[in-house]
Amino acid sequence: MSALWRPPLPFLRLIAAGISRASQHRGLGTPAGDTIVIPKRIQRSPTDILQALAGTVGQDTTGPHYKYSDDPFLNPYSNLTKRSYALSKESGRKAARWIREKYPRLFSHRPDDPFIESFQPKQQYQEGEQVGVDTLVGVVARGEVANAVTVYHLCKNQGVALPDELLQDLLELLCFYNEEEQVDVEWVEERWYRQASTTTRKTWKDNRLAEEVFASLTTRGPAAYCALIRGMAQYLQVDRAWQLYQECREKGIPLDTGTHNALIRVASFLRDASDLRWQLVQELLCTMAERDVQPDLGTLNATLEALAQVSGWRQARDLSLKVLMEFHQLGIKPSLATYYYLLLIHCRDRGPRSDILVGILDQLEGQSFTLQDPKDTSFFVTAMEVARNHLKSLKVAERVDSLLHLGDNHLFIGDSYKESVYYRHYFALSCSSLPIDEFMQVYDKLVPHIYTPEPGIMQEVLEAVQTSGALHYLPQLWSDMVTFDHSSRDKLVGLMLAALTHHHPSPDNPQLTERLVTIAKDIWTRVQEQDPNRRNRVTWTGQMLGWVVEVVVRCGEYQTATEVLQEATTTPQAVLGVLPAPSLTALLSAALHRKDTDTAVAVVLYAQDAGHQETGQMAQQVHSSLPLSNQHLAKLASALGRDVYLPHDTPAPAT
Amino acid sequence: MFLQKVYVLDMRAQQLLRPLACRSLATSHPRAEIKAAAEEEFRTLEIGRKKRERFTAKTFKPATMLPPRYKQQKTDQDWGSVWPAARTFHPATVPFPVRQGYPASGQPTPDKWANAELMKIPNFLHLTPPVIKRQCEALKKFCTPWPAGLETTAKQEKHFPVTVSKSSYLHSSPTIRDPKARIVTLKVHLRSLDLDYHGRDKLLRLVGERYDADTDCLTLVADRCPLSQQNYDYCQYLLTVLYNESMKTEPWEHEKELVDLEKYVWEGSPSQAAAQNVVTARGINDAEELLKEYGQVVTDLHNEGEDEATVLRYQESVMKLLGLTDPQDTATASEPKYIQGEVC
Repeated sequence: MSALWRPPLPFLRLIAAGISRASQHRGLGTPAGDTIVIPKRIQRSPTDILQALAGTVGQDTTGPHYKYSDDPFLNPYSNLTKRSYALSKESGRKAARWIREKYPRLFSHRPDDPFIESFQPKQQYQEGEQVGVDTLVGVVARGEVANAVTVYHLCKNQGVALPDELLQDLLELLCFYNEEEQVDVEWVEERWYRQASTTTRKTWKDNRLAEEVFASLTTRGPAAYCALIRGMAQYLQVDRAWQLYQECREKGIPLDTGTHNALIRVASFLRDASDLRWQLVQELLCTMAERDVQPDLGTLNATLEALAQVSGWRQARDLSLKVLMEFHQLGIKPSLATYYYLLLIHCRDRGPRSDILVGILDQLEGQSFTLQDPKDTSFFVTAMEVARNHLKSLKVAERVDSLLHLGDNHLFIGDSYKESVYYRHYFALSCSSLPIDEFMQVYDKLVPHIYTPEPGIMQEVLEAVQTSGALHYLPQLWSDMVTFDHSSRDKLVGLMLAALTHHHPSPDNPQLTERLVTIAKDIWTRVQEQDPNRRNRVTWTGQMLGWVVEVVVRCGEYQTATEVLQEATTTPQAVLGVLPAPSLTALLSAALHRKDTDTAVAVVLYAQDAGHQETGQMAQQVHSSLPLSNQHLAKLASALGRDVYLPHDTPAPAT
Repeated sequence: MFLQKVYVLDMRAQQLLRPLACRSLATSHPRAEIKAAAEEEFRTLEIGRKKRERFTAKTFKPATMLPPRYKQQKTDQDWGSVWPAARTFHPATVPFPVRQGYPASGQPTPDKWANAELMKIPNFLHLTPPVIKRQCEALKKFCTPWPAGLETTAKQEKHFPVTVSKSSYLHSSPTIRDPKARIVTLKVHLRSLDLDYHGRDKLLRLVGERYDADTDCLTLVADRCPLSQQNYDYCQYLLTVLYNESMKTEPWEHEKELVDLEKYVWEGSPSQAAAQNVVTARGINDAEELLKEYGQVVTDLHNEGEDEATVLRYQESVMKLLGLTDPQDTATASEPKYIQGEVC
């Protein structure tokens, strides 16, 4: 793009001066004294304009996420397809990266200017390779854990002397990552979809490389002890961490804030009783105060985390508020993780109701957040859960939602699991609080691209639609159920059928009747065509078949009803239970109306097999309305017995 | 590897412990039968080809597909969020029906679905007027007001006669460089440069095609150096040198010949001599205005080229000079006088 670029001022002034000088020289006179005011250029970074333009683009809920191809065939709707499409796209990138790393000689073309480090294959270190101190320094600086371990071993084998600073850096690296290579930052989808592991088991690698490096340090200063204690506490090797802490206290080695924070966080593992745990935390805090170690946000969050782990204790709530007040006086601003822990402490399942979330939202309204603690990403999920289960208030939930969608705050949703849980709570709360029409607006906005409902939530939605009688939403819900792969769940199919039976066809809604009948027929054909080897199959219950019959008969689809009856009579072992009496009665009246003797007789026989009490009445009806052939008579006689059924020339006694 | 993990997780979630080979166990394998038979009794002699189980072709069920996206779009949706940047035409997202292309015989114009013509051409769906307005509003905070005192073009030219322009390029590729970014263009009007007649003439000879007579604009383009800063310095230098050189008069410039003259000069030309002859031959005493007019007309004819007006004026002037009258005007006709020699 062409930019009109004015040359710098000195050059222009020269020219202008030249002209005025020349004009003076020729006696034309100086230009009139007009002052030119050139405002100062507004400084902007290279991407400010792009960001300003990007800020004008809002959210589009009719289309899939940007990472998917926007095509009707390729849009993912169910949770499984969303996940597999995203991960398969990334696996393609991983395959490309793998080829790049396996055959680096084939990729000697380097058009990038300036040189892009991350496009180059990662250096691998083999046995017998000559390495020096610089190699290890570079590897540690780049944070490559596996390579660092390899190079360290190579250095030791080759007898290279490693200085203490390098060993300290290596120790910090190993303690932070516990000697495991992390998933590359580039694999965003894998990170997005992986479950955050919340184990309470020790994962620290005992007597392995980290401790070896620690032992090989010539002088073990405070930095080394801090690194090791922090690493052990992080990966729950609590006993050894406590041991080292005592050692430091005895030897008088000063520890920093981060180490104390790590120890406070694991205090619950060191004591059993709630008050003893709190006592330990207090001791640690007092030690910090004695040693003049400044507390920070980490200390606040660690203290509250320790309290959250004893949240059953009666005093936990008051203590948490006191802690918050004290840190506020120290000038430490809380982060989202602080509020997360507060919610955990105050809004417990079996505790009294607490409105602290409302206070927190008042505090946070309109703010944009920056990441300060790993647990910041848990706040919004917990807040929505509290709004749904604890407070049961849609207003609070909407406040939380508007805070999440402010500016860049949406990044604090964390990962895909938290996002789905968040929207699940919001959705369920809307379903139970809003009238059905408003709820369906929320449904249209969120489903299917932002959130795909789980079967449990779909069940709630179906129940809501059924109770409110807004049956015109059923076609959309059924098509969504089919796309989300819910059509193989017994409970949901049963609920759908039950909802369909509430429809009463009338002359002013023929289209709706037609669509609802289509649903019933679709359910029937789908279940019949199921692959018998499939894992989740819908097994017909008598109740479900009865509903199918009722719906199709009521809405005029007789053919399907006869098919259903045939299925029920020919393969009774495939059906759990029997068709209930009302549906059989309905079918019978339809059969009598159409003078279909075979079906009518079949209905009566089935009813007899099922043991319904209305069988006698039904037999009477058949007998009185339709002419029966000898075959039919014989069948009825054999099934019903002589005393119930009488030939038509004898008046029938009342049963 | 993670796809495998998904599969395993799925399995675990269902809590089924079926072996993976369940399908092969379900269908009766001929070998199994033979093996069982062999253990118990004599081997059966199979004559002819074993009947291979016919694998029925898997009935391909079309994947459940929802209707195209434009059916869910509301009429008052924010189009700028749906189509934020330049994008190849996509029929499922664009809500209106549009047709393009030459129709086959008996067919209507091809519609938007799988229409290569629509996909090839640039569409400007990302630049609807409301979106442009919104983007301008967003960019306003980077803009400063136009400098006071430079409202009119005349003032701008007076204070800032020189315009320098260069382009910068942004690439979405591994390399961000573009060699065209070094080109610097300098434009200045010659009326802003203080040149006398000789200076202007000399400058025009020096710059040649770089001067545009219609707009009176001198354009200097520099791309000989690798950096735009260097090219800009070179442009500055060039302008300075041109100006200074054209103000100077070299000693050898007096050797300018007739053929080097930039325009026709009547004084001292054969035309003047001939006209003077005519005048003296006719014996006119006060011929100053006649000659002057004649000289002017001949100069125009040479300098401005021959067209209707100049030729007509020439004709009139020559007739006046020769004392001729219009042949149609017989009332005041005087005898034509033919003079030997050229009349130029």
